[in-house]
Amino acid sequence: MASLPEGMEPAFAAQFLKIQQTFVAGLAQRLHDIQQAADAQACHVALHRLAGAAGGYGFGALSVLAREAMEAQQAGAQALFQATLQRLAQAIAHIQLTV
Amino acid sequence: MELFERVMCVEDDPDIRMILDFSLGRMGGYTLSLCKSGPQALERVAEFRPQLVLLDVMMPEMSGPETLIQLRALPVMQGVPIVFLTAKAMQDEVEALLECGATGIIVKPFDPVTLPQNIRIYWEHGRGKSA
Repeated sequence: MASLPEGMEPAFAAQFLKIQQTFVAGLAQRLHDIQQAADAQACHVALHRLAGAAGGYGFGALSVLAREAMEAQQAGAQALFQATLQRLAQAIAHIQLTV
Repeated sequence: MELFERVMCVEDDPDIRMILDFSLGRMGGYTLSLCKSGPQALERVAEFRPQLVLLDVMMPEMSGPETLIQLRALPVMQGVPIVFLTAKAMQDEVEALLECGATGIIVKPFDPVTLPQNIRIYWEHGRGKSA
């Protein structure tokens, strides 16, 4: 699911992988913030932050899922929203196992 | 000839500050001032004298547009390009942000490899103008 950004010079790859691991270590907290958000606005903000950050670390699919969850939430599509959150949690679990 | 060296980044998310540091500081070779809020940017701007500011839109303490207005009022910021960083990219939102006086918009998630060159383009085309 993760990859080095295209065109990155090998000299920077090791440093990138290190900060990528730091980002991954924080994903559990991000998921907690999303799942335990006090209200819809707090949930939206947490998803927005994840959507903005994940892609830069090479997790484009995670960014897309966070954005899809935001859109489902905004549309009031509760079933789709919950299903997307479930996929998001699964994607995070997969990343945590593989990175 | 003026060199492009100093970039101020205003972003509340620590993970995004970290990737900005990596992309612009380590890969791009720029001197950075990484600020976690608008008020912190306003505190540091006179001393740091940025040549370009990257500014998050959605921040809790002071929003990006509010920060931009206050930065633009400072003499040291006249003619300095200010580029919004935003995960929102709907056309009406883009237009509203540009009407605030931004030089441009970079959509998150951004590519850390191409970001250093992208901000250079904004600097080359935006410096000296006050949007």
